[in-house]
Amino acid sequence: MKRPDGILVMAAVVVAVLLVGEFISYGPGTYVSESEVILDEDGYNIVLDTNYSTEYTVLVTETDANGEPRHLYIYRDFDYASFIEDSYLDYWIEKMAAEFEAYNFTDFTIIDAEGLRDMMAGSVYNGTASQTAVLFLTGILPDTVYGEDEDNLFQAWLSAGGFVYWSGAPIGMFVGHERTADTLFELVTDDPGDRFFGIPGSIRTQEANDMAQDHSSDRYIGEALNIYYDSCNYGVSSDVPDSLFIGYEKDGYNSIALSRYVDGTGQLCIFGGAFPPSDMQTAHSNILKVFFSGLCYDSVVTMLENSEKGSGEMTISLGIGPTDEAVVFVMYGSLLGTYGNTYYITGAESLRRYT
Amino acid sequence: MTFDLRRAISGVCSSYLFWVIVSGLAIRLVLSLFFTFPYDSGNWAKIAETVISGETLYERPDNYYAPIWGYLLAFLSKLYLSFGGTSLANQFDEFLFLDGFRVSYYNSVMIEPGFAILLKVVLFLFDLAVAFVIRAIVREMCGDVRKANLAFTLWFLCPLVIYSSSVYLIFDTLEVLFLAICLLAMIRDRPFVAGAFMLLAGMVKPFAFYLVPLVLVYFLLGRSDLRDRLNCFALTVGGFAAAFMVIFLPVLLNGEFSDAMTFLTGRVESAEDAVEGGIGHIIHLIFSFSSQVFIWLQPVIIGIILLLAAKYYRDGVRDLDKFVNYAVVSMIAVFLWPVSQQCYYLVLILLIAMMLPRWGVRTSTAAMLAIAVPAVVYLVLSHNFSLLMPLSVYTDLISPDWVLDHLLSFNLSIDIFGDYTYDTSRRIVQIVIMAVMVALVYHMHRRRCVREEA
Repeated sequence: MKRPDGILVMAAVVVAVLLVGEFISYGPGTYVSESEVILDEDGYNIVLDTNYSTEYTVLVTETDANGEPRHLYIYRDFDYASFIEDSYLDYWIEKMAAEFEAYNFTDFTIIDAEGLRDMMAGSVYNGTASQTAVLFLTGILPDTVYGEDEDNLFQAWLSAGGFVYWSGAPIGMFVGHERTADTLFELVTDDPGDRFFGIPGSIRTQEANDMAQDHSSDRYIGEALNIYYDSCNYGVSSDVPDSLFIGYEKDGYNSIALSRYVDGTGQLCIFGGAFPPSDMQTAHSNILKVFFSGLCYDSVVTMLENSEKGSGEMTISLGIGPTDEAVVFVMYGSLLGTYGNTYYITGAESLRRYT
Repeated sequence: MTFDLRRAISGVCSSYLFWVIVSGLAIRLVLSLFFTFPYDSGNWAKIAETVISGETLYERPDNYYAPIWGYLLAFLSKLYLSFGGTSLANQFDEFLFLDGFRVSYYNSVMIEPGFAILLKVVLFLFDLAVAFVIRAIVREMCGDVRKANLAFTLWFLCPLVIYSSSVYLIFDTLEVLFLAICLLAMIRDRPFVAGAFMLLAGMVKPFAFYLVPLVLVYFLLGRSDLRDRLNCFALTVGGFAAAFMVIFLPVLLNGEFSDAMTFLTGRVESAEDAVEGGIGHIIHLIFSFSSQVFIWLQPVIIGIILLLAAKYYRDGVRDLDKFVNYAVVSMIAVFLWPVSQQCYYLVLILLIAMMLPRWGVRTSTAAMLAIAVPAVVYLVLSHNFSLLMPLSVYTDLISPDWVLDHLLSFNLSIDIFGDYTYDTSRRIVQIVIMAVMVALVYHMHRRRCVREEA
C-alpha cells in the first residue's frame, strides 16, 4: 500500500483546523453565555452560566438618584457641526452595535438634532426625562436644544432628570449650527463648570493632550468593569460634589465623572477627552459599560465580585433582601467583555430585566 | 520482523535533524517564556474575545486581517478555554498612557501568559512544518538528503524565524507554510493544490501574491500544447477560487468583505491621504522611510515582477533553479524598500533556503544571516523594552516601573543629530538591510555572469 504523503496530510490538518475555526467564528452558537437573577427566601441570587471558563464581574449598587432603566439615544446629525469626522462617528456607532448585542441591550435609537429637540421637549412635558439618556460623541450640542441662554431645552431636560453621556470636548462650551450656516459653531461665554455644576472652573477646557495617571477616588469600580480611559483635557474637578469618579485624576481633574446636574435631578457622565483619545480602541465600550452598569452619581457599591468561574452554572448570593432596591450588573470576559446584562430590582419583590 | 523500540529511539536521537529540532525548539521555548511583544498579541486576544462574545470576526475594532488568522485564533481560544483558561488578556494602568505615546508600537493590553504560550507553540509547529516542506522541496530539487537537511536547518534555526514566532508572536510563518506547500505542489505539478495554497498564503499576508506570475509561468513552461496550458491555467485559477470561497464564504454572506481587506485597503488609503499633504510632505515621508512609500512604489515593483516572469518565460525552460532565482530577485524587488515590519522577510528566508542546492551551504547561510540578523536587530530596536512588559505585570521577576523607565529613556533619548535615537538607529539598520539586498542581487548577477562565461 502506498504511504500517504506526509506533507499533504499535514496541509490537510492545518486546513481542517482553519475550517473548525471558521465554524466557531461564524457557525451557530458555539459559546453559551447566560445569567439569571432569582429570588428565594434569603433574597436575591444570580446564576452565572457559561459553557466555557471565564472571568466575571458582578456589581451590585444602590442609589437614591433616578437609577431606572433608560432608553438610550445616540446623537448623530451630519447636517450639524461636529468635532468628530462623520465617517469616524459612523464607524464607532457601527462598532457599538456589537457591544449592545453582547450586553443584551436593544433599547436605543440614533437621533438627529430635530429629533433631539422633539424628544427632549416631549419628555420634559410628559415627565419622562428620567427614562431617557443621550450619548454625545460630537463635542458640540446642536442649537435645536442648546444656546447662550441658560433657559434652554437641554438644561431643562437635565433638570427634569435626563442623563447625558458625553465625550469629545468640554461639555456645554460649544453650540453647533447647521453646516449650511455662515458660522458652524459658537463659543458659549458662560463657564461650563458654573453652568452645569455651579462651580466655576470645575470643567477643564485645556486643549493639551493630557493623560491622567493617578487613580480617582472611585477607581476600583472602573477597574472591576475593565474601564480604562485616561484622557482628562475636559475632565471634571474632584471638587464637584455628588460625583462618582471611576477613572484617573490629574491636577484635580478626572478622566471619568458621573455627577449630578446643579439644578434638578439630571446626571452627567463625562469622559474627559477626545473620542476616542489617541488610538484607544476601547473607548466606545468603556462609555457604554458605564451606561449598562446603571451607575449613578450617588451609587453605593453593596457587592463587587471580580473572579473566575469554570464551565457550567454558578450561583452567587447578591446580598439583596426581597424588598430592597438595587441595580445588578454582570459581565464576563477580561477586555471588552464577552457578555453582560443589567437587572433592576425595584423593591416589591419584582425584577425588571433590562433588555 | 520485530520492532526494536530502543534501537528506534537511539536511531532518532543520533539523527542530525533530531538535534536541530530539539535545539530550535529549546531556543524558542526559552525566549518565549521571557519575551513577548504585547502590541499585536493584545489584538489577538481582542479578536478571540469577539468570537467568544458571539460576534463575528470584524464586529469589534482592531481586526485588520483576512479571516484566516482569526479562524485560527477562534480555534485556539476555544482550546484554551476548554482547558481552564479564563482570561485572554488584561489591561494595565501602568502602561495606559502608552496608547497615546509618540511611538505607536506600545499599548496597555497584555496577553495572558498561558494563551501566549499556546499561540507561540502553534507557531513553533508551523515553523517546523515549513522546515519539513523546505526539506521536501530541496530533495525534489537535487535529490540530496544532506542538502535537504541543511536547508531545513537554515530555516528552522534562522534568528528571524525564531524571533517572529517566539517573541513577536506574529503569524507570518503561516503565510510561508502555505506558500511552501504551494511551491511543493507546483513542483509536483498539481496546479489546483498550488492555486488553493497560493490563495491561502496571500490571504494571510499578501506578499505571496507577488510570486503568482512566476508560478503561472512555471506551469505553462512544462506544457507545449495550448489546450494543456489552458487546462492547467484553469486548474490553478480553480484552486485559487475554491480556496477563496471556502475561506471567505461566511465573511461574504455577512457583508464583511471590505473589513477583511482592511490590511490592504487601509494601507492604500493611507498612501493616498499622504499624497494630499503636498510635495513637501511626500519628500518628508520618503526621507523618513515611511511605509506609504512602499505603496507608491507598487507600479515599479509589480513592473519588475512581471518583467522577471516574462524573462523566465522567454528562457523557455522549466528549470526549478531558475524559478527560485527569479523568485529571490522578485522578493528583493518587493522588500528592497524600507518596510516597517521585518517579519515580512520570512518569505525571503524560505527562498534562500531553497537556493541552498545552487549556492552551497556557506553562501546560503551567509545570505540568510545577512538578512535575518539586521532584521532582528531592527525588530528589537522597534520593540525594545516593551518585550518585557508582559513579564513585568504577570511575574515578580521584574517591575513594571523598571520596564517603563527604560522604555521611556530609550524612546525619548536624543542622538547627536538632534533626532530620536529610536528613529535614527532603525533608519541605519534599514539602510544596512537595503545594502545587503543590493549586494545579494549583485552576487547573483556575478554568479550568473561567471556561469555564462564558463
